[in-house]
Amino acid sequence: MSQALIDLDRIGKRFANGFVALEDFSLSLRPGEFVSLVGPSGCGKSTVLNLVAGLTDPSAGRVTWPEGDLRQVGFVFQEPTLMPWATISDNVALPLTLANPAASARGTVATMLDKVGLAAFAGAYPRQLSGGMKMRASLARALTAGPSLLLLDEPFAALDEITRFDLIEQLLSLWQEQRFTVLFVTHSITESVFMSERVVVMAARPGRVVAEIAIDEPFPREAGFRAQPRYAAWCGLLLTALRGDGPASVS
Amino acid sequence: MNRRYGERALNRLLGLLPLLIGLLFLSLWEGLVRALEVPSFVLPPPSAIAVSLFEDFPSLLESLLFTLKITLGAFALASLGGVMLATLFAHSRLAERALMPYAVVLQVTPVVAIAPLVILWTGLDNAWAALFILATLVAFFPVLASSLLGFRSVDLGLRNLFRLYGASRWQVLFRLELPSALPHMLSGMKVAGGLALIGAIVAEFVAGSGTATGLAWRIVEAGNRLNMPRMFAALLLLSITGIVLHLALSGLEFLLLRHWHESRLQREA
Repeated sequence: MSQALIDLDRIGKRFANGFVALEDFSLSLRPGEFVSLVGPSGCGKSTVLNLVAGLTDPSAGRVTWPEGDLRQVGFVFQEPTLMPWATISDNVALPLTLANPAASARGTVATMLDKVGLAAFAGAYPRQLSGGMKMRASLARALTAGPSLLLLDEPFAALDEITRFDLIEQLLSLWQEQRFTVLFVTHSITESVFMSERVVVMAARPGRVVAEIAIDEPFPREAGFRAQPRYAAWCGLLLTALRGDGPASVS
Repeated sequence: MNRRYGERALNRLLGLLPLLIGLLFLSLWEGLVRALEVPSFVLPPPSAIAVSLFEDFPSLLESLLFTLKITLGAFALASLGGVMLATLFAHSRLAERALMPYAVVLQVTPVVAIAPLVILWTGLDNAWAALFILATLVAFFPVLASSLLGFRSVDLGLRNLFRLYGASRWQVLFRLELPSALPHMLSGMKVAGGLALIGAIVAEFVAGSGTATGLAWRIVEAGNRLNMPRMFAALLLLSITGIVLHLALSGLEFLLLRHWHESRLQREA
């Protein structure tokens, strides 16, 4: 097993109001791995992302970056979270212009916009875009600085199914190209089965890991995988784990 | 297509409606004053006001410029000070807790009540300074309050994003907080523009005779001489000033927000 990119070791997180979001939570991500975090609402999935991103500190345990804390993290939130006063191009350039205001981000941004199919909308403002396009701009922004780790916090939850499938396909092809590590938070069983190599199942009150399931299928998956019985079997397995009956296996 | 064209023509007609009503009102006024032979010192006909406006224009213009200088200066200072103090308050709870009560005290104390005091301090020879201070005080608070609200309503997701990318305090201020707060600031400034004019006029009324030469004094003077046409002419200039100020600020708001803010979106039916 190769060296981990990031290690979360026996993390506890208690908020100021006494709510215990996470207890004894451990997770290790290998470079280039695509991992989903699945669990019911309020199980601390988003807290895990915030801890990894360094937006919040653990109350117990440690977050370590064995290869050095590069903090090249891209984050896609549940909402597109674009600056309404800036053009799509300026929004996507944000990570670059914040790090180095003098440098020109034009070329990198243009390439990125092209990859997510928004080349024609570089000069548009967020309000002129549909929900799916805004999310793609958000994804482009997260990837524009070439992060080693991409955090996704239910980015597709608010999108219709067709748009969602398109975006997932786009994300997977970008992943294939750049091989960043992905930590994908979702409450959709089917999405996590389709999208990840490994699924970490969480339970709530307090947030903890109840199962880790490696989805042993060719990755990234073909669109046709959704129509296969094995896909349904994996989903069933995950559902069982979510309900706390422990993982079995897909034969 | 036809229906669209019809709608547009109707809209243009509706835009002319206030003008038509104004003309109707003026003709009625002129007609009634003439028919009932109302003395000019009670209510002058619009024609007499127009004549006075024309004849007294050079001296009225001088007064207008004086009032305008006070108003615009006070508005600029109030806007700048309001935004700067709001920036301070948004970043320092301590400063807000220490100073906000005094800002509120200044706001709730009627300007007429403190005018004599301020005039006493600046001296009657420098009445303009008193007018300037008073107009600024009146205009200041709306900018402060709405800018502060603007700073408070910065999107939390964007705040996290800026933190994630290690943005400096200045980057957060100039690239996130100020643009986010801009719509609120502008609406505060729109209120402040009108208030600065009111402040300048009220303060001049209080300052009294011979101290200043703004439009307010011209109104008092014309009243004392029963020169009603001139009084109306001065009033007319005042309200035109207010309208122009409002239009200018609305125009500025449109220019700055047209691309992105909800308030500027065309409703798509």
